[in-house]
Amino acid sequence: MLTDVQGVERLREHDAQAFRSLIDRLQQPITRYLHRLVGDREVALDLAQDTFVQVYKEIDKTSGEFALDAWIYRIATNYALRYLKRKRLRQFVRLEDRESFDESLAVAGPEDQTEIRILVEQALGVLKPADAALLQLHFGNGFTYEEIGAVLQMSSEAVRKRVERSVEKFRKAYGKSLSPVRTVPYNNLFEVSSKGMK
Amino acid sequence: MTSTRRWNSHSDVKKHPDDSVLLAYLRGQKLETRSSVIQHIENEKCQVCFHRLNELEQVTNVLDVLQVMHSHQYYPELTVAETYARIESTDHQPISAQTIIRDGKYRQHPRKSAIRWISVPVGVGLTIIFTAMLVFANLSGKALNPFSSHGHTNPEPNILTVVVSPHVVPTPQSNATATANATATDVVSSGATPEAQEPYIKVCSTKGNIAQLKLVICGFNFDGMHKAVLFFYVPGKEVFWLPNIPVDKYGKLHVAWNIANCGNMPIIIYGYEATGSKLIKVGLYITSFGACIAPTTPVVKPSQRSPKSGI
Repeated sequence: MLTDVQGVERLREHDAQAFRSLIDRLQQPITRYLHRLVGDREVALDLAQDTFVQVYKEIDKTSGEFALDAWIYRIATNYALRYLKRKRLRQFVRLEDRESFDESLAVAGPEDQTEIRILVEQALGVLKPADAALLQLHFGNGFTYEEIGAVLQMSSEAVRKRVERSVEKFRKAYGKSLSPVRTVPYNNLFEVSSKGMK
Repeated sequence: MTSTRRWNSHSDVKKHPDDSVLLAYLRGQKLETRSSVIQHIENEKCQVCFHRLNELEQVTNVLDVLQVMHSHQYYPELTVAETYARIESTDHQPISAQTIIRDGKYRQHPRKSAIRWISVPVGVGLTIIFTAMLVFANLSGKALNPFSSHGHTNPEPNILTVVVSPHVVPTPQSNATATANATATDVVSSGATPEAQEPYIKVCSTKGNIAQLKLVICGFNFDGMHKAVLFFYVPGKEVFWLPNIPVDKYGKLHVAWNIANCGNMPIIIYGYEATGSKLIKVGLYITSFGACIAPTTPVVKPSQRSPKSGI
């Protein structure tokens, strides 16, 4: 995550070319990130656009050198968390809530990993949005702890501990989602069918 | 899996890094105590740590699937023009139309609507003025606007207010409007408009179009071969927008909007083009079209991501 001084200066001057380059570079990753957070493709598209609108409007209020991408991700994260808070969604997607399950999140990618992806989605859905955002940034977007710290305005040490706690919560949730499917014991089946024959 | 093991350099009993340190080590993150951790794990070959690292690796391998998922997710391109248009519209109305439609509580503070530009008194005043102009035009037997055969335009810097009368007085120009582009060429070449070389949009419906309530919008002097966006503000309904409108090599664009029983007549149309060297913003107010008259107190609800009807 570089500090693009010239790029920031041009954005502050509302240079159309610089703004276009920024959107070209960040639109897809920001939208993906938001899609994962809010679990709704259309909302993610809207929030991504809101994010860039906010960037355009607020960039000239910033000063000095700063990590542009981190700042943009922070705006996107705040939009997503605010949206989720308002929707009282404390999850990405929840298995029992099929209406909010966005299948496109799970089907994208190699077919043999589809099941894992669904389980990951379910497990992430159990976490608090902020924890899930942290995991998204690190595992999904490949951000370092320092970069996440810049996005979430935390020290990298705090991020380190937070990531570990979030991973632990994820592990527990993922373990639950991996619990075996309940099967009816053979004896029970036999008993039922015997009763039925009587 | 609890973080009971603490890295404690001066402890002579237990000295294992805690889980967050192990995870950071596993993920290749910067650590102040990295050299000590490496010494402990790699040189001293701490079996407890190896076991714990193995557990952590299993769960992180699962989470790494997120990166694979990311790389397979694609979204429609967001054009700069659309974003500029959104920036412009946020000054007057809520941004996240789609979101608000789904969840009306999303925005803490609803933003001002663009339609509030036209307040009741201003709207009434405009209606009176243009009605008077219309009457005058009909009485005098010729159109006020020499460049439009179907109505009267009131050119302002990049914003036009248009009344398109249902009873068009035939003029030589009206015959020239067989196609929108033909008319547009005439207008531009005449050079009579103050904004002749400036980008603008106008209604270029033919007589037949008006009879069919087909609102044809033509744009001129846009950056050739780029894309434009048009926003249609329909009172009492939604704001529709048409992205990726092709601009031809002469800088013209051309779109049609079908009005159904006057129910979806736009009263404000904004055109944007930001894919070229500079941002182009133009506006057009419509107070009537054919038999349809714009309400004086319009209420605009949030927009849809794409037009559902009318085009």
